[in-house]
Amino acid sequence: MAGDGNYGGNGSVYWQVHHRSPTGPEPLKNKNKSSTNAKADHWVDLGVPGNIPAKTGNEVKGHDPTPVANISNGTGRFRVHLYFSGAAATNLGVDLKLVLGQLISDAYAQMSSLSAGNPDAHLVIEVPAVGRASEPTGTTSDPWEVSVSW
Amino acid sequence: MAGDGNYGGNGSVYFENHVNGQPAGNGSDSSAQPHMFRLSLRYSTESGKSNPQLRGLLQAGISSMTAALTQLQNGSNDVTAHVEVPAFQRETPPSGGWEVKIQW
Repeated sequence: MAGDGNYGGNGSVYWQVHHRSPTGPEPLKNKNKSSTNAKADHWVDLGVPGNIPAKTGNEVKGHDPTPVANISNGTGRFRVHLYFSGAAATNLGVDLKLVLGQLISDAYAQMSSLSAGNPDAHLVIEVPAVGRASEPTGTTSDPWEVSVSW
Repeated sequence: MAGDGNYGGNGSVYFENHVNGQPAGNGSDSSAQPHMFRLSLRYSTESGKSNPQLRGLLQAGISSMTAALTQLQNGSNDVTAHVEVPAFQRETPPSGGWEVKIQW
């Protein structure tokens, strides 16, 4: 029914993806096992056939069978949560106020493009990566820089 | 050195993650020294949403970003914002033009 993908840094990049049903986390099956129903199951494709191996290919694909119309409490939308860290921006020599100001201008420009009749708008957002000393935890005190949920 | 996460729908949700060489599951790209995460969000009438609905979603995102900017101007060091992107209902699994793409 739901899921999220999370991205954060601590000098390197960590990511994780969860699928969740109303009863809790949803285990992901190996798409390449014959017992997996590719249309009905939550699955992950690790890029190699057979049982889930110790080492994977260089691409991971996943499938959450929740109908798109039902995601994010029935809105049919991906929800993108952004965390702008002042310390991370300072470390990069970036002024967060300028970043957000430019982002707002860009978003208005995309709205104008849609108003002019264009069927597609693209918004690019840059978020400073946090230089943590340890893995990101995703807790309130240590939020992911980017979290996508559905 | 780089990677991306992509999310899209075709009646159900697909995601795809690439990391330059390896990992899977909960992953770590230890070769990367990230500076900025770069998100590309796509608002398209191909999602089934009307042009005014797309503008409404963008306006909601602008409101969230404006509130975050105001917090910064009032002295906050860290702020959050959120945006919503309509998922496509494709006939086939997405192969590009993802609604949400994350690169580092």
